[in-house]
Amino acid sequence: MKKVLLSAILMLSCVLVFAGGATESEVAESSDGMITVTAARPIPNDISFPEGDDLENNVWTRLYESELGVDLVYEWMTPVAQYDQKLNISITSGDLPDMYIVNSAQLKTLADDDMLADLSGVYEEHAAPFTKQVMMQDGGNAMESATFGGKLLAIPKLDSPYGNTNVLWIRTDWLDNLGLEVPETMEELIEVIRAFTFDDPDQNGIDDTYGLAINKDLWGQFASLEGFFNGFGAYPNIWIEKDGKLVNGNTQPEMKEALQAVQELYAQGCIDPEFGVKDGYRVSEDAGQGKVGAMYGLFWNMGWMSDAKVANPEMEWGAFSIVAKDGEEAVVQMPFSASSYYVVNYDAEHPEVLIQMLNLALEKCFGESAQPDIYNVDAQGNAIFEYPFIYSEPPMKNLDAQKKVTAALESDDTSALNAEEKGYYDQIVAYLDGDLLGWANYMNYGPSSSMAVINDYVSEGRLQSDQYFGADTEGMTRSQTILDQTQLQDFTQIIMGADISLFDDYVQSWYSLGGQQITDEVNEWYSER
Amino acid sequence: MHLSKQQKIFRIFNCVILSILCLSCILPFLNLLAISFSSSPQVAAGNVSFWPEDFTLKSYKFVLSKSEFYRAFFISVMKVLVGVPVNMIITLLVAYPLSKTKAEFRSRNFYMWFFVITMVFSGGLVPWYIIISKLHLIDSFWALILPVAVPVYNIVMLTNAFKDVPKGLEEAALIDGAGPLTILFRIYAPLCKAMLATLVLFSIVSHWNSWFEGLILMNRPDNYPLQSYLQTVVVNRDVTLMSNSDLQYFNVVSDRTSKAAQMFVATLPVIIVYPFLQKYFTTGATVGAVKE
Amino acid sequence: MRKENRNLKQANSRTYHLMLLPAVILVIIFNYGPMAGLVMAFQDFSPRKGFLGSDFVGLENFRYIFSLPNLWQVVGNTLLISVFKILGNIVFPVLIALMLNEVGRSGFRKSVQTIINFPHFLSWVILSGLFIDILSPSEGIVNKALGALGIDPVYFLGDKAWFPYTMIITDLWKEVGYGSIVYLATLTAIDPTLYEAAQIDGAGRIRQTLSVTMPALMPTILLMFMLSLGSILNAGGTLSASGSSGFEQIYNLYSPQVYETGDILETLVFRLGLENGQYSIATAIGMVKSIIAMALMSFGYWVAKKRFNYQIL
Repeated sequence: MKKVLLSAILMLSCVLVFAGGATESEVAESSDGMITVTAARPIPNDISFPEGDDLENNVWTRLYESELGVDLVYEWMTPVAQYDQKLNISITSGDLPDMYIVNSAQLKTLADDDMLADLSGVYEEHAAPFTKQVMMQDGGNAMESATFGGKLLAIPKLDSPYGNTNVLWIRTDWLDNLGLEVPETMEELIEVIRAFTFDDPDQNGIDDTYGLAINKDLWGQFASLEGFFNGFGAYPNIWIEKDGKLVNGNTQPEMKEALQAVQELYAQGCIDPEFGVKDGYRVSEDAGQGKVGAMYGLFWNMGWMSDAKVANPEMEWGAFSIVAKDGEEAVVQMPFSASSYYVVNYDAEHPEVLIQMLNLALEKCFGESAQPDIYNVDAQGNAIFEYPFIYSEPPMKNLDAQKKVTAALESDDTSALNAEEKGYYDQIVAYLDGDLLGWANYMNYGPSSSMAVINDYVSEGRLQSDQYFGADTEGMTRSQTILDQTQLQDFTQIIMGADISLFDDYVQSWYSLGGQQITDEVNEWYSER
Repeated sequence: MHLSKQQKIFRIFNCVILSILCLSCILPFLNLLAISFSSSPQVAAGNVSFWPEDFTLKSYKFVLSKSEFYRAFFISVMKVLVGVPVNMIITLLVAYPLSKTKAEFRSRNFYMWFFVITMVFSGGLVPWYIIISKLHLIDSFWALILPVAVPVYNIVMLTNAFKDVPKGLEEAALIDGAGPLTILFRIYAPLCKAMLATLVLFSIVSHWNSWFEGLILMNRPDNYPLQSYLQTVVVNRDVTLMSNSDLQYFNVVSDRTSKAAQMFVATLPVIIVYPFLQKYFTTGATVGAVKE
Repeated sequence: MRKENRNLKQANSRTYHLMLLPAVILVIIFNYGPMAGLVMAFQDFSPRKGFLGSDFVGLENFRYIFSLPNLWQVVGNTLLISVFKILGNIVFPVLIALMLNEVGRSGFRKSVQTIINFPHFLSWVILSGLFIDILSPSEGIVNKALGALGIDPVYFLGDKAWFPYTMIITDLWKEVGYGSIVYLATLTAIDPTLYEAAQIDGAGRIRQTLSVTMPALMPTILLMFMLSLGSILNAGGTLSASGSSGFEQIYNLYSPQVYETGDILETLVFRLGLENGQYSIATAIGMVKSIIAMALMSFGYWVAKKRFNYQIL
């Protein structure tokens, strides 16, 4: 008995020591000469697939295999909310795949630590002419932000900066119910918000509605506050020019007035008291259930509401220009167009694959041979463009699409439309014939859509763009997160009723927590340009 | 026994307070249960308290239709089935030598400190992760077992229980020529059944309940154990379970009812195991904790 | 005979070492191995250079910690939550044990115990889900009940004034039942003749409690207090198998709007390390915390041993 047990113990020890080695499965070189590339990515919220597909096996991965001879293996992926945590721990432990996606702060850290492959050469050599053209559409700012000491260390994920400006969304059926007009000034908007809260806009006899939706981060894509703040001449989170110098919008006195206005709305009960725990996606559920009547957000917001529209066809939303205080012009803020970056680890063997995948993404979605119904959004409404590892959008494409689709709707002549635009056109026509699934695109690209509002911003020059678009500075890497955290904490508290003098404290601590250093660095950059 | 009027009143008062305490423990779960069995419009209208309104099993059907959920459930079950025996074997093997006096086993104090220090001192998350990754355990099932294989707290409890075993029994066995392992499994273990049952419960619960390791060490949600999965959907108030493909459920199931159903299903195993082991730990937990 | 005895002892010792071996290997790998990483606290850690190649910066990281504007606030939050939890986890379990003891050994007592012990065995993930639901100001049943009493809804998890107390109360709700086991066991062990003697002296019920029961409980109470000292920087309150219940609870229930009152050392370390990528700083804080916890725990054990002759080790 004793001997047996003792040897069992020894065995156990050995197993424990070597368990790791045994479970490891080496990535084998495929026999047919395929290149294996490892990557990490977040899993987008609410992603759906055609039957049998998933993120590791879909039309894009099959395309990578057939066109590039690349077998893309995701070393790990997490829900979006966990991505930064997992990536940070991977970065620190040096346990990184060939390719991954980073934010600008992580990019700066990685660049400083010399962890990234220099892409300058492979980009020159492998990027298709169309790719190069698209990547320069924003005047080259995004590419510049990914360049460190003359080396291109990342491919920026281009978002259309125009597509990231706020429009004002309002329940037009509620306006009709209450006999109200579309608000044209901030004062009128606040009246509408109050009416939506107190006057039973859905006429169900229950006090179950809020006037204005905001999300827990205050900023962002859905139910954000940038547009509201812009109405007071306040420009949160971007750098603006004042007297020849760059200043951070967060520290300007206009912010105080805007915060006070939100605080008042909150105190009156016009804002969901639980906004502090609901992110944009969560708020979109509330909006879909008819709990809220007005919000600021991006042009595609109704895309998150299309299920709700099918369930409740009477729900009508309208997109409108943001409003300013009486007698002032509403100028909307436009962020810098790259917020995330694709990078290649320093020891990866095939950095060119990233560029080749980018070529494919742009070509198959927007190029001459584009097949958007296969590679962008399919007939079932699956967002195929979420599947590829790398994806970018030409900055101007949505603005053009709205103009051309609207023109085609008037003339019934679709010859000028490209494949993607034709897709929108068809869906809008279907919607006008009663198919509710086309509603979201009608709201995005139709004649009086959100994109039409943004086209007006552009043609009327009512845009305030972020004046700083260099890489993250030393001070930003060190302090940006703490500054953001303080901002969120203090602003949320002000909204929830803290004394407005907290804003002055916030400004003071903003400077002392590293804001002063960042301001100096940003102005040094500005004067050098 | 004869009780005075005062004493009777005191007794009643006593029982009332204790009953209220029990209610405070039961009602939240009852509320959750009622929500999980009600249809979403009734829940949204605020009509559900402790009894289901518009009774439906749709939320459970919805939860069980999610392959993520039962995959995670299965991983957690495996984690308990493998992790608990590993914990218990190690606990027994370690507690026995540590229960010896310094005279009987010279290195005993060194080992004791060696284990106990790890209860308060740790190198932090990142170095821990690096070691697990260097062992190629990231994303493997063993990452959920090995790093938590040595439950120091349980070891201390069992050591203390072993110290109470009368020395005479062991000496008699020694004279019969029995070795330490025989003594451990033939004499000590049977005498400390209540404590061992308690530790089995602790070990089951800690394996079933841990979520953080899964979240950090697994490389994809498919490999999350149940509590990690639940952490991403129930606690992260951002995430919603419903998606386009779930249209068929939209009328009766909401985020709230389906979350309630998930929480209840995840609690079920603890509810099932608990009564069987609870009679032991009222005695077991005490022996280890306080000894004068 | 003597020599034989010694040989036997040696043979046994060898077996003891072997029995300990698997656990020792595991602890070295997974607990002591990572401690080498504490060197990060003195470095400007760069992943590419690793632990061996990163630049040493002396005490710079520690200096930075003390310049963090919210450090003392976080320490204050941690201590406030801890102290209330530690005290509550002694006072209420003692009261419950006294009450249960009065009921005598009955089915009722057993049922009560079964029910109030139960929450201890649920994870903070499940309980957070539960509390988020029932404490919601708009939908939760607690606020519905308050509403029926004419009280305005309270945002227990989102109002910074309420948050720390919500943490304390929910933790007590989870742990007091389980905590009472120890005291109940002590009570049942009291020699009944002591009560009889007190009765003969004419002591009433309350008098008996004060003169017999409490003195008997006192050692256990002080002991539990000493044992919980080590967890004072974890906002934990109870010494439990799952080390840092304070972190699990608060991490799963807090949100930026309550950082001011709800942020504790462990959540701060977690955010600095994992969300901001400042590992050196996070490691430095963790190290200071470990050292203080170690000192407090050693003090607690020392007092327990000297004063109560209780030896855990």
